[in-house]
Amino acid sequence: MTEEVTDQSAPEEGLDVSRDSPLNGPGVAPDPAWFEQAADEPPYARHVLTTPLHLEAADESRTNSWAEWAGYTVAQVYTSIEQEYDALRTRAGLSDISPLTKIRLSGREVVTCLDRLLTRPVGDLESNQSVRAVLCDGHGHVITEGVLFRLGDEEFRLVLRSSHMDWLMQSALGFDVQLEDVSGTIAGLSLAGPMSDNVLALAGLEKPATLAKHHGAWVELGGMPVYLSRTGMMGGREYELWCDPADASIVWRRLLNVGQAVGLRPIGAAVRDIARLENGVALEDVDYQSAFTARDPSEALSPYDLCLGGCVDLDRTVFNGQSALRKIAASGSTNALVGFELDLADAAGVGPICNGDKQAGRITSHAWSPMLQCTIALGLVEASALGASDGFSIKTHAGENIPAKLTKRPFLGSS
Amino acid sequence: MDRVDAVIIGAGLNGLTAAARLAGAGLSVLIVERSAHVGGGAAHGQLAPGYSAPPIGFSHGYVPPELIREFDLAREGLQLVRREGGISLFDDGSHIANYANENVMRRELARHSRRDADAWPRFVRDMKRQAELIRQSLLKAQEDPSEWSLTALKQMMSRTRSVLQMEPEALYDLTRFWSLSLDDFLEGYFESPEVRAHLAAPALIGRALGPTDPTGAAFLPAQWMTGTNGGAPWRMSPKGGTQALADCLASVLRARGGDIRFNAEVTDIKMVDKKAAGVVLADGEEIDAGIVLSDLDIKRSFLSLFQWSGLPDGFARDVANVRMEGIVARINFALKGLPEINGIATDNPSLSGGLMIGGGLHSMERAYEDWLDERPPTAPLLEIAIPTLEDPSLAPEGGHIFAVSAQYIPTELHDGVWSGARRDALMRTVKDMISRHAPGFESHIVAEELRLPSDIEDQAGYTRGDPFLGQMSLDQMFFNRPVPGFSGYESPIKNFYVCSASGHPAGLALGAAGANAAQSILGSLKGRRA
Repeated sequence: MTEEVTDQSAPEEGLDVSRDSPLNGPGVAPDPAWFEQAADEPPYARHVLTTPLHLEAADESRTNSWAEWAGYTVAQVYTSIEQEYDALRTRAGLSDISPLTKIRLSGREVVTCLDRLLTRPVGDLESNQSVRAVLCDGHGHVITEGVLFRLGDEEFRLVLRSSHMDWLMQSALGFDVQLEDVSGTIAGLSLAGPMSDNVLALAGLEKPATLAKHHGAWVELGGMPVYLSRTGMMGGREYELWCDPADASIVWRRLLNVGQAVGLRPIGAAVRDIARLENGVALEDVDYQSAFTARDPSEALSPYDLCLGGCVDLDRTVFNGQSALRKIAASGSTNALVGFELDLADAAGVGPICNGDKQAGRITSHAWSPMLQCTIALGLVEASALGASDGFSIKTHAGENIPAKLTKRPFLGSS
Repeated sequence: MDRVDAVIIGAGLNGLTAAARLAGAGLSVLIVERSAHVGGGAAHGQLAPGYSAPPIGFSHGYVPPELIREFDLAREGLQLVRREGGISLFDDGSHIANYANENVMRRELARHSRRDADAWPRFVRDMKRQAELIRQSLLKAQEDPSEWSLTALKQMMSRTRSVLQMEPEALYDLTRFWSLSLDDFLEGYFESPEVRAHLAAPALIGRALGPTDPTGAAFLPAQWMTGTNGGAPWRMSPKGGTQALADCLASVLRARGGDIRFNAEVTDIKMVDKKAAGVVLADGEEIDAGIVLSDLDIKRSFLSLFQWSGLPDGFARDVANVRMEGIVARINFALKGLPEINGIATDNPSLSGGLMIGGGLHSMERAYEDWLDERPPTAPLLEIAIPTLEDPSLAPEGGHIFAVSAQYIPTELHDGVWSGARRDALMRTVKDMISRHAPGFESHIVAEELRLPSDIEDQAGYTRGDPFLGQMSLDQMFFNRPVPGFSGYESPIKNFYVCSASGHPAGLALGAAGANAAQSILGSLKGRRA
């Protein structure tokens, strides 16, 4: 959880990194001491930590609007949601994903161990390929999900939205495998949008265009080693760049500088959230409770409930939650996290989802999609209601019943 | 003296809530109180000019929101202060602090074990689950399942049903939770022994139990009833201390037409036709009443107010067998300033939750063994509340109070009595333990007071000085409380009720036992009229 104290020193001479901003005046950088955690600082001195990109984000922010993500501060909005959204969907957007938890797994039995941890086998994964990873507890309830990268024969990296070292270490007991939380040593940037390739090309990278989806490769960006992967959760053309925290702000600055030509903008957490919703991605602790935080045991959900059945391969060697998942697969899941389109400008505070007159579930997250020109939402409903002949509806503030159109996820087609 | 509908013996918090609830239902009520003030064990004393602290009771307690609403306590002027945190100080100079913010709490745990930091959410989830179950039962009279009344039957059915419907794993969790020791239970989450000691210690205070004794885990979630947002739970306590709560309740009672008579000690229960019909005071005066409630502990209620021959067969023995143990000595220090504590900055927000000094689980276990053998304590477990941090009104400007609950202090000693020298030695031990972590501590002391369990018995009337008026062991909780067979606050004596913390839910919530007793009386009155 602790952040490595990184050197936030100004970029090297020679690189054209202008810090012109109305806040700082030309060329004046924010004082790193405002944000950096001192080595002897007590834990309560700040409730949220800052990422290696914080100074850059602070520099770009015109709104001073921040969000908390896994104990870190990230920009909520840099300029305006509309501008950032337009950049992301029509040109390109750059965002900070450093708060993600990164766990390195290595060792002789790492494949066996991961086969046990994940609901799908990983042995077939090629080097530099990644796959969506779902981790279940013994009841077949989802603890967390994330992305697993294979970096070598005996080396993997698990990227999660929350830290679960305790569970991972328990599950890895008895295997010849090492687990390390390397979150503090890897910064993450997300580059997404139809012009992403152009941005990378302008930054001196031609190869990425040939990078297949879910694949990654080491590249050199302005002399710095960066692990570039075609992964992300926002849909469309998107890349994630993983690098040393000390290099992160230089990578960020360089991409923004060269990307200006094609309209690249930094995008904040608010737009990322709209985009992930358009891409139909459900988030832990937002759309569903991890089995470890669900206070009411019935709130814990199986991968089938989350419509992640595609990530489950039952017919193989034993893995966490296998027998429970077999039962659920046989009997059918009780819930379903599904997508809805609502003919509504703002879905804040709407009532439960109804099926006919019967209450059938609730909205877990929603957003106005500027592309689709309607409100899109994820809703957790009783699976039995899906087959019912009555359509779904939602009661608004005004007491009006509006139809909720069941829609396939992702809402936006991906490229 | 006119006849009243209900006479209540004792103006403690439970006597007050019982009286106020009955008065609210239109009954004429009178409290007779031995001392000259309300509050009983919750009453504050003047430790030194300007320093106010409860000499007997704990300086904090959970006030159920239901009671705040029922008696409109907020409009009566009751304010609650939030005490966050709590810091365990260890002999090697390290410490673990509680923080209300989840991120901060996890970073704090990560200083001791990264893994434990990640186990924290799972622990919080389980604590919240159990705390919710307890909270739901606080303001419910616990019906004895062996009594075939309709309510008892219904309760039992719903309980059985909820148990039967449980997933095997949930049932396993429940048994684990009700049977394991604190250490074993916490080991299921945390690898660091310091983290385990830090979390176990607050659950031990007042309980005649060591950290490795079975069933200790059941006491953990009590602290999680007040609230948490993912970090450590906070405690709410009345501003002005428990005395302020007692004063508020007394004014609610008076506004409802109830009355309190001070300096009136009850020596006997007046019996007519084998039914309680009033009380007899020390000066011989009799007060007639339709019903009699006792805010005394279960043993005093029956063994000292009644002729034993008048009690049903075996009941005196059952009551005598109720386990009441003095284990906590209360020590208050009036300080002229906050002493510096090694390794803890004065702006640490966790300080307002107080300090815990007791070493690791091993030294707690040794202290417990000493207690079992009735040996004078050499290293007791100290819970130090600093109520003045969040509520400066309790001390003169700049002054602070250390309200120490010293755990594992025997009521009697195996080799003699608690002589003056022994008392001094205990104070010396406690001061030395505190001074080790706060070197300037002694130079700050303005005044000090010590109440051994036997002093608590003398002054507050708690048998053996038991702070919970009956140990909250598994066999003495819920429907087994206070005596198996009499959980509904009724007693084998018609028209006589026990409304003290000897009944459910004991010390888990301030004033709840009294309110519950009044509720069950009102219920049975309604039944009688119908």
